Amino acid sequence: MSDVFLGVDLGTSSVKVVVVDETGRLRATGTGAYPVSHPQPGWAEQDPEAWWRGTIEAVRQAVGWGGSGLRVAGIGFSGQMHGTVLRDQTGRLLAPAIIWADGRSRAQVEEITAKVGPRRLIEIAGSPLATGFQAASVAWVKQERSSVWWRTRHVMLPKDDLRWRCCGETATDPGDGSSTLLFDARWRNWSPELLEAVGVEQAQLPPVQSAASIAGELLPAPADELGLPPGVPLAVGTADAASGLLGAGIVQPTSMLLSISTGAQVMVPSAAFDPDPKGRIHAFCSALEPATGKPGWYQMGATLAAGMALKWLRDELLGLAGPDAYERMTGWAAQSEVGARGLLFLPYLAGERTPHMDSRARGAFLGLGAHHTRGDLVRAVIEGTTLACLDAFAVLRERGAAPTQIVMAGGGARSPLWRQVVADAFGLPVVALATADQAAMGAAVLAVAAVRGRDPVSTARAWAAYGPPTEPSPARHARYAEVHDLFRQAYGETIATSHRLADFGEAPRRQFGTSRRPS
Amino acid sequence: MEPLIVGLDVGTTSVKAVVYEPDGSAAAVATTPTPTHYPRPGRAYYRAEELWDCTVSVLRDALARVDDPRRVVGVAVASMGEAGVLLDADGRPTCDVIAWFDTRTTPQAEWLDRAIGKDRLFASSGISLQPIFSLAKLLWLKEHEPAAWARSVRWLHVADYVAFRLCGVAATDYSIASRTLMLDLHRLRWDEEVLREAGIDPALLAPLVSGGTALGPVTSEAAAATGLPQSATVAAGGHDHVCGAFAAGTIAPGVMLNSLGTAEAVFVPVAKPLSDPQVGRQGYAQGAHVVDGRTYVFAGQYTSGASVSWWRDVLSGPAEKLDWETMLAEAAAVPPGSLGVTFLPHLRLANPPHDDPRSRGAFVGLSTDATRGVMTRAVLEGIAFESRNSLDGIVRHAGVEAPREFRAIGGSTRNSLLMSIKASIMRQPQRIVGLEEGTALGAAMLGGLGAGVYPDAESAIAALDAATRDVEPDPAAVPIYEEVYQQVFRPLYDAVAPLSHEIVRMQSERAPS
Repeated sequence: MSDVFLGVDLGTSSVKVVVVDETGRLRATGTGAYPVSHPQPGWAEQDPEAWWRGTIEAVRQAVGWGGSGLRVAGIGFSGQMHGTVLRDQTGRLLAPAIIWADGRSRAQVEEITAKVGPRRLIEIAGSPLATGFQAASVAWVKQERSSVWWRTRHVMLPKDDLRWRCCGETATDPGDGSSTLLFDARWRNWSPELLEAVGVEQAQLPPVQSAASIAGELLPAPADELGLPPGVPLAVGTADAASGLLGAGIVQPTSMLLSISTGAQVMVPSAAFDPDPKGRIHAFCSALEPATGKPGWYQMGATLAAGMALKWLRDELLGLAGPDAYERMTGWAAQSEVGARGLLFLPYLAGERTPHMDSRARGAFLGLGAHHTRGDLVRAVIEGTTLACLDAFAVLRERGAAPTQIVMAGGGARSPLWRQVVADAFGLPVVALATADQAAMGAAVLAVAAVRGRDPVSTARAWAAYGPPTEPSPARHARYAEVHDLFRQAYGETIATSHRLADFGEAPRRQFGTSRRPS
Repeated sequence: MEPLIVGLDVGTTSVKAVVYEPDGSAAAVATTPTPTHYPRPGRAYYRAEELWDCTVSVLRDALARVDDPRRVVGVAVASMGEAGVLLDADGRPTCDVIAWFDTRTTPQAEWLDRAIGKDRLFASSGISLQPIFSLAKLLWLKEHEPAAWARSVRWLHVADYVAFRLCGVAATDYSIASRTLMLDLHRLRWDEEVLREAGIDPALLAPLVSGGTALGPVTSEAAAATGLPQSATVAAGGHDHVCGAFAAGTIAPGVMLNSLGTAEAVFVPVAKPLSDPQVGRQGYAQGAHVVDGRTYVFAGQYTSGASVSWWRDVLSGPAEKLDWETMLAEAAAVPPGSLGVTFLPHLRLANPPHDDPRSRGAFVGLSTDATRGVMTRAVLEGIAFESRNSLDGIVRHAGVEAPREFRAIGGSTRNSLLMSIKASIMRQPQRIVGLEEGTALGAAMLGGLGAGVYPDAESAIAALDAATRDVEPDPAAVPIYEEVYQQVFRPLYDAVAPLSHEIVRMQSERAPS
């Protein structure tokens, strides 16, 4: 029997499970999908039962593929950040999970921010508050669903809820905890000041442990459902962003991770807690404990729509099916040129975080001409999402980040065109992470660290693998600098219009007589 | 013997002859492509003789299908504007017909701006200086064809020339003259001051008449060639789209016409010419109607139906086109306001009240809820908002009566979703007028006026047996559209124009020379 570890990453569209041996060799993977539902425009919810069913499917798939003769020695968790699951004292689910992409709590964001003071909030929590963050979602539930709130005994983050289901113990880690904005990121624990401002009891929240520690053991009933033996130790794990850094082997400030999946994240590790007073980026806790001399935080700029925008184009507009749809799309885009022949795309399909922190921003195609074809649209979407990442990166650079290379991860990293656009737009060499599912890999790193007492930094470095570098072209870099100026100008010029349209889109439901979207 | 009337339509794509009953039903139609010569990029011309040959051939064809051509009592010609031909003393062409859209005359237009000035030209002609107008063509011919120029005694526009070949009488109607820059629109006479400053002998121009004025009987030579009876009266015709407006019953303030096709036009009769120079700077044209020298204001929308087909092409790619019915059904299922997605249809340039060739299109307000149906509906709403904006820009001028009746003609009127969106955005029922070859019908009606078939223009319109269908606004949609129009659509051009200009600048720097 050889020992393996499971990394479970609870994403937004699916849960991914990796089976890794102690040398970091990937033995098997599994996946289970679930939908996001939008019961009202701007809302985004998920069903924790669907997470669980997806996890069962993914674990059974992965362990099945891994073959016999494997002994699961530990499981680590990673998951989508910010979200909110509410359970009563018997553990019953009280409402669908309100996930990070939810936009209903604008009023609560403003109230809490005003109450604490925007500067003070950032000093404590490391970021400004945004809709979809647990602090705001909880405040919304308190105000709008008091019958749910008075029965709420447990407020949990998505991956913590999943782990609780496996072991019956509640726990969270500084990385995910700091994503709630109820957390003191400097002292790595719940903030009494913020809890009071929102009106949450600390007892409703899980205790904080190190990401690389054991939270409990797999109980018999869930073990049975997962097809695993009971008693397997479960590592706390961390937020998917922090976990992804580990899985990508990025444990020093010289490397930057650009992760392009549904949204995009620009992340650079940092040895000190140094939040941006203007609140344009997040300073979150990493999966590493700074007491051991490691970068205990990272700075992150997040854009909300990246792969989401390309998927939107593929599914909603072009209606393309088939496994090669993205390849065909990037093939057409390659026929276009830098600047998509005068077409700009603002990717704010779900509002924007870094640097605009504006949930009422909306997307746009600008500069449309009769000469534009679908290839130009695809190229504009790839460029627009990349330039939004460059906007985010510019803020990190202002805070002193000076990486010398970019590690690209996520679906976007698989496209040679997208890698070239990133290299040219940023003017830095790009390598693609060869390890797929870096967040799940990071969770496995934490499982090994927790169960075997291994150093997570050296383990992460040893496990990560990269493809050949893509070098930037100075000529195209200069051209993108011009396009980037236009892109920023475009945001400024359309923002008033966007706000009016966002308000219109969320106006009384007179316009929205029917729900179009199956959820 | 019941009378028949004949309308000729000499257009950009085809030359057409249609024989009508006085109630507007077509008895016979014949068409032939317009022979156009393209010697090099940016240049195009017709040959006057070829245009006449086409006219002869379509008249023969159409009349051959009529039981008794002697029933024809009146004929008139509608044509493209701006283009014309020089004739020598024997009435023979001395040059080719520079196509109306040919841009070789840009230097002449620039000279006119320096020598006379845009504002003065507007004050007299009511139109904003552009290279395509006839005066610039005359200046080009004077400069580049000196020998022909020296032999020439008369300048006739295409409709005038064809009528001249039919009856031997040379005249220019006010609607065609409105496209020359040489007409004083306020006094309805050639502007001798402008002509003097431009160095054009006023004697070169034909007498001005109203459309429908009887010019004379068909000559024996023309009768022999075409099959028209010599007894038929040739009347002055006019500019093609103005003839179409006449046929659609749009001759007096209070009624407007929206013609909907690849391009779109808003045609608004007004009580008198607008003298505010803003009218021209905003991209509106005005001119004299074919009826009694009345005045209209006109706004073109270059990419109307073209926006819709462009969007379909973008979605479909080069291969098989998406099914049109499916696209419309998807759009129809989306609520008014397209979930906040708004489309600016400036795919080539802006439209009045914005005169801006460097404007570009936009989709704004995109969210992940924006499905294909949402975007398609936004395109339809965008082109409807655009024509509302063009109309509002006219109505804002002093002395303009807001239309109470909205008439619509053209191919896109078959798009019932578009028409109902337009009704709600315009806040008025849209009266779709079913006409067979509206331009030729308007010409034939002018022929009927000249021949005394109708006592006056109103009677001619009343005599028509045109099927109309009213599309009503949706009361629930009206306030939604009003909000989007006022809050989002109207400010949208100003919001994105600086960016569009930058984009166009960058693209033109990149363009291979």
